[in-house]
Amino acid sequence: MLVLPTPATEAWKFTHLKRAIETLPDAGGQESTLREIEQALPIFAIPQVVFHHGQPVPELGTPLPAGVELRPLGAKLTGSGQPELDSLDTLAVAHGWELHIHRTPSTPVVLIHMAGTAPTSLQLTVAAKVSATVVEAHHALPHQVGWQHHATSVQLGEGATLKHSVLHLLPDAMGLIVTRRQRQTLAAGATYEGTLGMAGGGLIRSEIHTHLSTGCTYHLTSLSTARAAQHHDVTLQTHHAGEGNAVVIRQRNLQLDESHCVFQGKFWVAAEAQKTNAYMHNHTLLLSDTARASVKPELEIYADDVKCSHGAASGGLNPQHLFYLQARGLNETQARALLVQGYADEFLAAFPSATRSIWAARVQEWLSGGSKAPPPLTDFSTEWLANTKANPEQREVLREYGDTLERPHYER
Amino acid sequence: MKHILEIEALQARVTEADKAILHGVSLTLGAGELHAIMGPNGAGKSTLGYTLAGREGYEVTGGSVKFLGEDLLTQEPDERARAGVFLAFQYPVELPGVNVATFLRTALNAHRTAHGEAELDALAFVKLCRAAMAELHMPESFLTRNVNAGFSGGEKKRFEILQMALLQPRLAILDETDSGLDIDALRIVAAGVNALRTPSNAFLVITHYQRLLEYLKPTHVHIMAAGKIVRSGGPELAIQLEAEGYDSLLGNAA
Ligand SMILES: Nc1ncnc2c1ncn2[C@@H]1O[C@H](COP(=O)(O)OP(=O)(O)OP(=O)(O)O)[C@@H](O)[C@H]1O
Ligand SMILES: [Mg+2]
Repeated sequence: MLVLPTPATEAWKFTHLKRAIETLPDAGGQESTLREIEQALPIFAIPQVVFHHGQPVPELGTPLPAGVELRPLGAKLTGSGQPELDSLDTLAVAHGWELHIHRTPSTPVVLIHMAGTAPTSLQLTVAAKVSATVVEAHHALPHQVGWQHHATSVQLGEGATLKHSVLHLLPDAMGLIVTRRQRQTLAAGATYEGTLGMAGGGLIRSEIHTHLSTGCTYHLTSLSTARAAQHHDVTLQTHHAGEGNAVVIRQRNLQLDESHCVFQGKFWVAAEAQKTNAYMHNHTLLLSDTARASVKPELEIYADDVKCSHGAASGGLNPQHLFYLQARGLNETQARALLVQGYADEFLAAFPSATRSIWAARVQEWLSGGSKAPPPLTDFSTEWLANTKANPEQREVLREYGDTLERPHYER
Repeated sequence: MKHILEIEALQARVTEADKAILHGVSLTLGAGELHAIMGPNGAGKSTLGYTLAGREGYEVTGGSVKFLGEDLLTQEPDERARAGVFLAFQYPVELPGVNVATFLRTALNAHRTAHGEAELDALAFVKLCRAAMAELHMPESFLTRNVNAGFSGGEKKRFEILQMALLQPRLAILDETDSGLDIDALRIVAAGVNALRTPSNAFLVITHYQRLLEYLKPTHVHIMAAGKIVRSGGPELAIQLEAEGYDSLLGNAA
């Protein structure tokens, strides 16, 4: 029988998964139809694979670019060489899948995970010297409740580069629990540029366990927007095995109501990992008196010639910033919204462009209270400005956040 | 003729410092006038500006202020701004991640809505903004940056004047807008201020230097010391001050 983690385990100190699962409302056995899933899909204008219950839905996929192949993985993920962490590693998975990237593809690819209840497993493999952008978007239908665990493995070959964006874009449903454990191994000279976004759900925990060989670059920018009693947990472990790895981790929580955000970050630096340069920072913006954040950075260093540090800051909005905006005629609500949007935008800039308008619209929705459609904001970019000069009368050049794109044409 | 601003025996304390700073300031600005306020460091000039703008922590303990005939002190800072009071900050604030164009458009539309005018769409806004930026010799690339983030001291001051140009206030309080400006920028900013002067608005210009006033040609000059206006006169007062300094001009009043 599965023994679920509780705060008695150090790594789960701030997240009571067992209690959350045991108090889930009854799912009621409602199955989602293909049509419902299709209607709920976010629109990315790039090739996509849609997974439901961990299995690809062929009717909703679009052709993948050359160099990218989706293939069955076998019954269970092969481990990354690390010891098993807890019972989540023993969950049985029916069929795992591998996204195998053996040549640099011409476009990014998106994997959309529609929440179900079957545990999933997925491996992303990027061959040596290949560069790719992969987006993984976790979604759910509005009536979906239950717990789903995702086991992911990322294998980067020598000199490979992966831009990887994991977005939890769940509805504000307290009965949705998503846990994700990503184990990744970077061969010499590989680069992992990660972005992690969290919105909605009841409880989300995203873990990334990284093993760096030598001369690797690992950047992670993570943004969580939480409201109501939502619980968002980002847990990162980075194992520096060899020399000269460069790591920058930035994580930001934007919290309303009585939400709880958790950040646990650990650098483990082996004696051989000289010239390691690693930094992590957590910033929490608490927008209510009842929001809570738990932050636990850890360093365990066995090498002597390294630069490793961490920093953290938390607090509410700066009254000087608010006054500056009010002195320009913005009322308090507008001033707060603009400042919070600014904190989000600073981090959104790091997300792949294919995800930015969807993620930005979701942040707006979070800020404006969930249900009602947010007012469109113009993204005043350099290209936009150039465009208004080239076509001064052409209104279509306006690019507003949340613009609707065409739905992809599904091959049936 | 209706006055723009009437300050009567204004007293204020800074709560954070737990200290009374303004000890009875009286000042009347008529339409079309430009008043300069000079005075030694720590005299209370910025405190006067913040108190008029309604900053939290600047507590009025006596006196009254009327703006366009209405009680100003009962209004919230944003109401004052939309009613036409503009404060150019001595130290403009950096706003992380807040895009300049979005900020300007939101401020402008807040004013337009308050005056029953339609909001400007992004394109109409950019057109207006481009023209105002050209006047102040500000490159358009500022629109894609974040408010005051990484701006040089002079660029911040120029940006304050750009905001003023877009918002067209009835009362502009400029707190040391000239400090940190190079010689050319000073001329450009002064020209920007002069371009906004009309017979129906008024300016309160806080400065330490005669140079800005040479361009602005104030109608009145006041000297503030220890929380009070201690001398008032015409432009000649500023010239005299530059020549003689506070010590000899004010004696033991300073
Ligand atoms: N928050 C604060 N905490 C402590 N003291 C304060 C605070 N704000 C103002 N003061 C004090 O109030 C006095 C007046 O300050 P103010 O900034 O108004 O002077 P000023 O005339 O603008 O000076 P300057 O020419 O240097 O800009 C000073 O003595 C200052 O130290
Ligand atoms: Mg001052």
